[in-house]
Amino acid sequence: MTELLREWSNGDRQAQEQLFRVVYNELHRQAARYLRHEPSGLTLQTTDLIHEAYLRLIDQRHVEWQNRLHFFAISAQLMRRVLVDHARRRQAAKRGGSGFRLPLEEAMDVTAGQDLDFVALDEALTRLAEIDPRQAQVVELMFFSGLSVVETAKVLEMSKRTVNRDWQVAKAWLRRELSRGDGAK
Amino acid sequence: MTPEQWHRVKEVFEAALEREPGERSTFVGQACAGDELLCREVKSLLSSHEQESKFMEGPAAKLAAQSLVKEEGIALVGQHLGHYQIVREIGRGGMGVVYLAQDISLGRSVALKLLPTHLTGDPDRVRRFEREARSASALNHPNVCVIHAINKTEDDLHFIAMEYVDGTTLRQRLTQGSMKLGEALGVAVQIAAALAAAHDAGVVHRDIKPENIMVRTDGLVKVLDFGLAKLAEPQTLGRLTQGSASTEPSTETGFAMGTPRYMSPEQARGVKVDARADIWSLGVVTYEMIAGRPPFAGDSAIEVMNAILKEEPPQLGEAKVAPALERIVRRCLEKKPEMRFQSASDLGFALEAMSAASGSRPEAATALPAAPESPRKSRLLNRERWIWLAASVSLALTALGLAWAYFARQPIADTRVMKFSILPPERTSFGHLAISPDGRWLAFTAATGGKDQLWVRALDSTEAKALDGTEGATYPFWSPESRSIGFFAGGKLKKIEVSGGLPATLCDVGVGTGGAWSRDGVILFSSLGGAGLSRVSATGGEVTSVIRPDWKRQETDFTDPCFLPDGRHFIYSKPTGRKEDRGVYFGSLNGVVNQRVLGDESNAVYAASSRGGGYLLFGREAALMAQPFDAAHGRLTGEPFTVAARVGAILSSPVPLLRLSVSVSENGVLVFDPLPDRQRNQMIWMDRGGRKVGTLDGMDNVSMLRFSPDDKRFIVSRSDLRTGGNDLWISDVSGGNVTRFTFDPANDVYPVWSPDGNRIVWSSNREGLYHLYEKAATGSGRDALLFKSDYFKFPTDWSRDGRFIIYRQIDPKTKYDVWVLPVGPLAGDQKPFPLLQTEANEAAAVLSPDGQWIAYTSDELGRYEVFVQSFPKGGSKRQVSTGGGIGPHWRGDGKELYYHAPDGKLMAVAITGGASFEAGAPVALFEFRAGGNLITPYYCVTRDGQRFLLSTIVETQAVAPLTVVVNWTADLMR
Repeated sequence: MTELLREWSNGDRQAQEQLFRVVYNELHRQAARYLRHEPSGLTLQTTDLIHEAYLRLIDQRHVEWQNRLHFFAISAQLMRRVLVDHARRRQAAKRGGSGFRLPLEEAMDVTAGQDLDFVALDEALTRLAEIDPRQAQVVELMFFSGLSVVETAKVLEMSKRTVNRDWQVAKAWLRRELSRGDGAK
Repeated sequence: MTPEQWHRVKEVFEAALEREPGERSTFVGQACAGDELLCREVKSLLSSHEQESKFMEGPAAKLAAQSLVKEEGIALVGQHLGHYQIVREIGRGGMGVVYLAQDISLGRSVALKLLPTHLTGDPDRVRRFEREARSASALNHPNVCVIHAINKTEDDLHFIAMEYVDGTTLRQRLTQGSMKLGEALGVAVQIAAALAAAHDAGVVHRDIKPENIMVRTDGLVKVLDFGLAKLAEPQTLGRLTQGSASTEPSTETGFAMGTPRYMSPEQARGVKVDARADIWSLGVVTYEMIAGRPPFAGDSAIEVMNAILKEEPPQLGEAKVAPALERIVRRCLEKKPEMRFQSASDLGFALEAMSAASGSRPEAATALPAAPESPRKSRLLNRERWIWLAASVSLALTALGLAWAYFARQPIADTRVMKFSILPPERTSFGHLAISPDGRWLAFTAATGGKDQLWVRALDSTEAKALDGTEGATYPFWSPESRSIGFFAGGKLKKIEVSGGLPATLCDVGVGTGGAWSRDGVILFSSLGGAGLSRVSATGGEVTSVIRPDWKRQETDFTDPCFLPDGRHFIYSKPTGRKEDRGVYFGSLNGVVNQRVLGDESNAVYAASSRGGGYLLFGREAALMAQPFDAAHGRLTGEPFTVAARVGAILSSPVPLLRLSVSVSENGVLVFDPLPDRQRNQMIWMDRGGRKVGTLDGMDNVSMLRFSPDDKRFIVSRSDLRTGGNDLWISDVSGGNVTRFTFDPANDVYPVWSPDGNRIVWSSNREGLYHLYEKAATGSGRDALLFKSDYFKFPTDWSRDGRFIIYRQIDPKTKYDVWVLPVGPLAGDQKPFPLLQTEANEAAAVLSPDGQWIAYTSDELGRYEVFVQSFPKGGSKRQVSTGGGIGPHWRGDGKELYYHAPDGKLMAVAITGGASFEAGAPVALFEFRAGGNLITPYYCVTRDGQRFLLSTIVETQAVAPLTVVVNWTADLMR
């Protein structure tokens, strides 16, 4: 599986770029659709999204999925990369700054949300994978692929209980790592 | 943490979770049984777990989509509001969200400010806001942001379409650190000019603050949001004035919203305000720019307002602020309006006088001959213009005026062609040039003395500025958003912000010969030495090859890559190789596409047309040509035509080639050199003292000079400028008796003499790769192949005993290396061996006359320095140059070594010692501008060390201008 990913990333950067763009555009499209028609609740399905993106490319790329785990694992890793890459670009854009930013009234700044820092999360998750690869995979499947506990358990052939516990401790750990900020590195 | 430790942490953590929150701490204490580390880790995880939070709740895509919605205003991005298409959000604040948008009907960028609905409920207030905003905008003042339209959508969404200003807010500037006095005064003067004009028209801003001041990258200041304060007045006041449209706009009360920091005392009290409130606010802004902190501070709005009403601002400055300036600022900050400056033009005048006294100049733009001015407002402007008229050197102000008129409202809907000339900075001449994609900036290299440097100049300014840290820069190219410049220097690809700062190194290149930067952040560049075209991320990193020369087709190097609009395809030039292969090619980053589109032996650039499609611009004979080009398919689609009858070229080293001096922006600004023969390569004689003692005319475009061992003749490689082909020529040192030595159409380069002066060995690519050939110095006989291998190789010396030929070899892994080829009767079947082969570049190796030492240049320390080591066994390595050096040469007795320093100075180093090698401190002899590059011998020295023959670049014209054409395609449509 990782080999395949490596192939995707090394062997054919263009294909990878293309895939990123498709996934990313799809994300945008769905987000816009959500805003226009479904303001009450977001029904965005990650797997659908990735699936859709893949369907557009798979024919050309002749990728054969060995099994479900394979598919979801790749989906999760892709989603992770797309989101982290996107976050990184945004951070760069903010730092480098193209264009200008207008009045940021201290009193009325509405942008300072509690958005998740995907870049920091990615780094923390990489560290987690070093000490506990299985747990990192649970996080990837549940968070990045958007699978439920039941689905994750099925895919990984683990008990629901184990998945749940892995998820709890991983979340606590990641959150702690992220709240430490840069000082933790 | 090890996986085992982690396993333990997990166990305790999970067990703790099964207990009630209150019991967990005790449990953990017991379970860890004295393992302090374990205990701390679990407790920290528990506390993280117990925090109420939506951390990672919901799939990642959902969170990402939510932040997209929130951050990017995704609902609007891509949508149309009237004839505006929203591109992206560029800012937001209390008074609305601002988007960058494209005006579809006029094809220009605008800033769209969407007003918050709670402010636009009252039609009367909206009308008054509109009236003020329009009257300020109608001033057409360079320091007032132009409003194009105030409009609303079908669902009552109000928006303002205004001039898009590419720059930063003064707030951002202030957060970046302290401003220099001159900079601060320049900004203040321009704000005052904007206010003076607005006040004359009866408009009071009421909300002057750093967030409302834009500073463009070229220093021009724009005041935003005139009239907007009208919208935010308390509702009751709107009601009061309802039906009384004749109410003087300058007598409204000005209760401000947001931060009160810049509010005048009368605004804080909620009483009537007039133009003098703006003077107060400008005083606060000026204070903050100079002092780096606001004059009135407090932890809450109430405290700040209290300070404004009652307190005197602290002393503005440490000793460095002139008392006169302190007085000016304090006069703005008088509590009573009648004690302040009574008009913004008076204030501007005072500030401008300070500015002149501080030795800085106010930013150029206020002073440019601008749009019509009202007679009163501009005592200030008129005086500035006066100063500028006096100061401007030889530059046609009319041209500048045109330039300003264009760039201030750029891109313009008006499609007239405008032409003007610009001059190089004093005592320099234009080298390589590149106009920014937005058509505002010209980057160019220019040499002062022997030193090339990168310069930038805003086209609407008279000043060019040299960028520090760019010594030796060649082939500049722009980032797509016109903010950074890529260039080559010292064997590296670098980038620098147009605003200055230190250049960042992206990768090693060797000798770069052109670059391009795509919207996707890919830099494509060409370099010498068989590397062809390579790519690297604009943030640096790994270099990968895109297209390599095909040696079998005598291809050696490609040059001048230029991206096409899709950022995946590009054009580039193959200057050498077989005639049927030469020309301009169309290629793709994935290396799949690679086809010739043009047979001309010229570099080419792609120019988009405002009406869709585009052109290739290239040189043919002495003319600048254009030909319609389908960039998507890489096909010429029409007939070529002449854009300018004469166009110049830059002599590019090491093999002089016709590198057309032309550059074009994405919005139709064309810059080119109108003089075909502006630069010339010339051979001159210098003595040690730097006196020119002769020139050799008729021998131009030469490099790779070598004296014969008896100093009576020399051999050079001479280029055909158009084909780039090189042949060897031999001449007497007097310049007489010139004979051609090689005749093959391929390249013949890097000659060396045998020690007896009877034979020449050189390098030629007539069989594809560069191999070594040999022939009698008289020119009789055939060119005989001496040595063939799988690498490019170029001889640099032949030992006095005749046993070794030293050559430079190019290896894909170890780059330039120095090798030794044993020759002569004693050589037998000895194989060539590497002398210097490291990851760094080693080149230009020459043996000392006694054959004991070898001098060479290497970039192992980050830049080329001259080293000497023992020959042939190596060891005893010494660095001879300090501060960079290339092109070492020995004096005939071995007692002196020469090299060329990066600042253009020819240096001499005394050599002492025999068996041990001792080098003295380098001494500068004279300065000259090299007609070659790092690794090409472009000078040589007589055996006695008294006279130097140099290949230099000279300008045929003392001051040669460039031609700038704005909207160059407009004429083509008529």
